Amino acid sequence: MKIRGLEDQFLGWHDQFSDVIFRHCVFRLSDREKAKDATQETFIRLWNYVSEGKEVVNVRAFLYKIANNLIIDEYRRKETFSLDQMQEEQGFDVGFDVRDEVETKDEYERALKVIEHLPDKYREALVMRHVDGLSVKDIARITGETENVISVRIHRAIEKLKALRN
Amino acid sequence: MQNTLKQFKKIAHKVRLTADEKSTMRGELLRYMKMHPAVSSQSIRIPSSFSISDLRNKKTMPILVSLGILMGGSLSFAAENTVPGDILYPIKTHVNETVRGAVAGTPKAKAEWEVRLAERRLEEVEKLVSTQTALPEVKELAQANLEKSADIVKARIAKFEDDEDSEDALKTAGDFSNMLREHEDALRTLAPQVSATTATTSVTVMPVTQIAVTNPQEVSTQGDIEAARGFVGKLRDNAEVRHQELKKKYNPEQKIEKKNEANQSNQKIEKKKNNTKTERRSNQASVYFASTSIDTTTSELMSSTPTASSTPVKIEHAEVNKKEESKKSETPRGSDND
Repeated sequence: MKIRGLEDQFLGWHDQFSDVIFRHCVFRLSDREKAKDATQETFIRLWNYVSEGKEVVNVRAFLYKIANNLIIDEYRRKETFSLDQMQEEQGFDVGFDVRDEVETKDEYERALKVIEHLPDKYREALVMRHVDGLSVKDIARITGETENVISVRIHRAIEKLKALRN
Repeated sequence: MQNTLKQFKKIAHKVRLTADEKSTMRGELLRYMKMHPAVSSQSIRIPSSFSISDLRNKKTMPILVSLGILMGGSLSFAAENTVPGDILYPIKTHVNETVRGAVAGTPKAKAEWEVRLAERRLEEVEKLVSTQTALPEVKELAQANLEKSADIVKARIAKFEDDEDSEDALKTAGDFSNMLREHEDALRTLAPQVSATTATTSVTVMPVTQIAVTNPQEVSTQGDIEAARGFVGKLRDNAEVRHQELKKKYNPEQKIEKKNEANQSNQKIEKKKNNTKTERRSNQASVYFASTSIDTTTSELMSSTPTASSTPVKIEHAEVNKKEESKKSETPRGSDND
């Protein structure tokens, strides 16, 4: 009975958070498939944790933390690449839901392209703040940095975005 | 800048998994969950007021269970009153005490248990020195065990001091010296001569001692008791010095207060001591006086606070008792001549 409860609870978490985690991964990895894999892996790791009877106080923050770690691993694994390059090679699909209009897609791709050029840490902070809508405090907790550092990074990220756009 | 961000956010929120993608992922996860099911011991959960992760010592639950099983077993129960040399003694130390010790999770709980352990070793010493048939080697061993257990307590106090944990350091030092003093007093009152008529007043509660009855070895027993008392006295002295030291360190303003307190309790104890000497001097008093003191000590120990007035004791010689009681209160306070 109790185990059943945990499974249901976990699936509920998936229903609730899979989109936000996916979105986060997309903006961090600029790759839909990779983002899907990362999302799934994130939930698998969550299951591993709770199935051992460990308690999670804040599931959302915990999921972000796991995802962030996976993303950092991914960054370390691959070499630097450019979005243009990817697009040329693979016909880059940026994870846009087919329902939406083409213009938005273009805008979107442009925006993604821009943030692609941000240094990793700035991008991390920016995405968490303005894509995921996490508070600076939460971001600090998830990344293990101080709130100060996060605020600075967000600010610099935005400045850089502006500069890149021009 | 705002435009950039706004645009960015607007777009960002459109990103999501398609319904298909979501259900596919769900299916994958379900498969994974089946292959890696939740650990079933989860169902043995401690009720909601706290969870397993709250217990700092994660071994507590299974240990409590085994303790329950053990103590329910007559073997470990029987082992409780043993002394070194007894067959069941190893069960007392290696099983009972290990299990009970393991339950102590916090340093504070460990410290309390370690003081209690020292007391247990002391009780063993007391029992042995009062036993005619005990071998001297065994008595020595018991004393060595006591010394080791005292060292453990001292080390614990030192660790508290290192960690700047004044509260626990003071408490442990206080508990330890109080415990030693109580037992030292008990040993002191045991030292007077005991003869056959006191067989009826053998003590069965703390401290666990047996009044020797047979004559020939009485002297050696008495000598042993004196020796034990001396040894315990040294430990007690050492412990009290340490306690005072810590008190001075952590409460310099209250030094004077505490000193007065200590003086008062010293007075009370000395009152009793003087009574002991008076008893020794008067022959006829010695017999039932020993029993009076012992019963007094026993009830004192049971309430675990030294009291100035001896609690009324049930004795055959009721009248004489009253006489002695008044004698006690009249005895002037003297200084410790030991």
